[in-house]
Amino acid sequence: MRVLVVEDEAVVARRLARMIRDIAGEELEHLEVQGLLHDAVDRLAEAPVDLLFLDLNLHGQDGFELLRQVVASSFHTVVVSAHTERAVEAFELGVLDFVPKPFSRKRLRLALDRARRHDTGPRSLRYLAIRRSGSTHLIPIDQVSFIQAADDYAEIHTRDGQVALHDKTLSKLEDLLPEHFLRVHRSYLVNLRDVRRLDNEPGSRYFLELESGQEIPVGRTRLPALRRRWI
Amino acid sequence: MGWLLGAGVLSAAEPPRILGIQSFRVMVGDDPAWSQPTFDDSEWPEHELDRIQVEDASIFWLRGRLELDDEFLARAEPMGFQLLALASCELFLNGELWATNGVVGATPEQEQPGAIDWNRALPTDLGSGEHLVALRCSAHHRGFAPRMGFYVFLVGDYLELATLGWGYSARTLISAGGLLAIGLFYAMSFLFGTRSRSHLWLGLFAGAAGSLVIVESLRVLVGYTYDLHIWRLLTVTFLAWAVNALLIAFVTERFPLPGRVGFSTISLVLTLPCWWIPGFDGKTGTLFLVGLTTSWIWLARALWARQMDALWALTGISLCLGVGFWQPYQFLDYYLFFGLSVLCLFLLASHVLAGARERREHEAIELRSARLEIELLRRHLQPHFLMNTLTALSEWFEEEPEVASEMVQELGQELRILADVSSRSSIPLGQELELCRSHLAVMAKRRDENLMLEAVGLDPTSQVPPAIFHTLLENALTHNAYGADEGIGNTACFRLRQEMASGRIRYVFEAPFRPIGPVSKSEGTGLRYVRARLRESFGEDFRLSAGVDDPDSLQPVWRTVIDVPNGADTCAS
Repeated sequence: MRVLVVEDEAVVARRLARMIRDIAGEELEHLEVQGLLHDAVDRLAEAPVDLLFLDLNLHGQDGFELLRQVVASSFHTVVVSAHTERAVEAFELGVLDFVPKPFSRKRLRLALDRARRHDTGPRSLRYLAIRRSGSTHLIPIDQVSFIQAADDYAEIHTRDGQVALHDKTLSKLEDLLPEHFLRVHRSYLVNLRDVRRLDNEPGSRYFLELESGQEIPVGRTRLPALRRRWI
Repeated sequence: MGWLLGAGVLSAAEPPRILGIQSFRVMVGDDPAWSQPTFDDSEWPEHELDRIQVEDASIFWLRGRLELDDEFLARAEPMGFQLLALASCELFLNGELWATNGVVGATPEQEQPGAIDWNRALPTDLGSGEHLVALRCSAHHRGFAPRMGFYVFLVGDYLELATLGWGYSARTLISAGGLLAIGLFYAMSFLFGTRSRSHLWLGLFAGAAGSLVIVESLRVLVGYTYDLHIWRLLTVTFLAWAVNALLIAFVTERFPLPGRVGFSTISLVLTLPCWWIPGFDGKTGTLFLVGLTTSWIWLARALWARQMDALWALTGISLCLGVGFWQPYQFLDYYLFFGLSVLCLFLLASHVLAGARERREHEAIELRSARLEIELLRRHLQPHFLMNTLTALSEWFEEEPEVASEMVQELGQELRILADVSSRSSIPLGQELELCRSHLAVMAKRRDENLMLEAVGLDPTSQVPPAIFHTLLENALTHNAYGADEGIGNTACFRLRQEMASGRIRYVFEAPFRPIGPVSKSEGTGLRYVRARLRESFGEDFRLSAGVDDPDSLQPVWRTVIDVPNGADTCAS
């Protein structure tokens, strides 16, 4: 696991680094600390990471602009901040966890566990951040009809027929998305609120018909979960 | 005599029910035969009634002729007469003694003074034609040499004569009542409330003006014997002086300008020569002229100095002066109560408006101070400061408990000083320095940096608004990266210098300039706090500037310069 810590307070950064090393142990491939926002942005552009620990107030600058960019990235983000009043906002943007300062080893371990085991915390994601021609756009998840895997990316299909590419994998998005999004196939995540009916073809192939008329295949192993949640 | 004008006696609009005897023949001496119509007085000198001057006379006689026609007799039924004079009199009508006013005497001891305003009925059977009016008089008790000893002799409708001046009196009483009520209100408010001297002067002014109006109309209201007339005139003159002196005291107190004491003294000195001006009307008139003019000049200066509330008082005085110049001879008798009421109302308007404005300003200052206090305390309760400090503290506890323990001490010290100084508007520089150093100590441990403050030429007893340098320090620590630059190492030295020059103190605060991101052009909350605190203490009499000193040098410096007046009392504590 490659981890980047972005924190301007030297002692706090030291504490984070020390604890992450302790908790992750052998799993940790690489750990780096950055104190300045622009250095962190450069660093992220250079080499990919698996997990980002981000302070939202760096030298008096609001870290939410950076947060909007990083949540569109392939890796998970854990916010470590004193400003707990902005936790909801951060979750809505799609952070994996929000660790309030001051933090203990136990709390940090929880965040790391979530990252490693796809064991997610509160799912209050409301937007999917999409990077498009250099800037970040937010798509409200109510507008999302289904998501299809595309190699290391994901294709977001909205109700109005638009398609956008997200940097996160389908699995990582599954961690973040609320309960009414269900993985019905190895390559598909569906918004159950958008489903019109479940159908089967001869040969026991199942598929979902969406409001738009789009048909989505349903994996045989995923059928019981779908029946439980939807029917 | 104003009420004569007011009652319309001299108006010619309708046929008169009152007529006067304009001229009398005068003789000093005493002879019963002088009362008789048959007596030949053609040798006696004849005078207009109000020009009769009889000095050092024991007893003297006045003889005048009254012409009545049937129409007038029918209009003016029942008939009476009115004599306004500073004398005791016996009135003989066609040779018969008809009425007496006091006791006429050859010596002061023998005389008993009569009423100054004397009204009596006339016989109902008085026919048309010429009638002789003979007055046997003495006037030993005047106490001064008046310009006029006799004012008028009127004959006509008795009721109308007796009620002459009632309308005037009613108006007078209303205005006097208003003036006295205002006077009482502000006197009470001074005694039991504000202790503000402008309240006192306005209260006394209104009280004196009300008293002046009452005393001025006392003659119509209650009447008195003519020997008391001199006392009334002296009282009127004294009250006129008091009204004008208090007017000057009020306007100079209410609208303060430089040179107040000198101006009031000169104005008051100018009122003194008025006592030597002949005639009581002359004295009173000049007093008003001096008082109103000097007050007008002061208020015009106040208006020029942008004390806009002075406009009302200035308008009131201008109106008063205008009426005085328009009707100089009737001002005191007829327009005085009107002029004083208008003046007092305008002064009141000025006073109330200025008071309301001062109260608003005071409240705004209090509110600003309260907000600044909250702002300062909140900065140390806000999560960024508190939670990062606590996180760093827990790290030190786990790594080096001794350092953590020191940090707790330093944080405690900083919070203690903050709690002590936040509600004050100024603190000694020494305490400010202590606050800065404890904050630096906390921040040094939190950021693991070497932070120092160098103080040059500081007088620890100088008074400064609380936490202004502390705020500048916080600002520098927030917006610069002192730990990040490996070339310079994680050391930052701040410098505070105090320089004294020509009654002013200049503080120069320097911080190493290693900015994170672009420097904002607009003033941040920190600098706004410093500015607000300086304004609270010094009004607009301060200068605050900040900027980079030589940005191309190897070690550029962010320099903040604060220039304030020197003096312990300019900084309110």
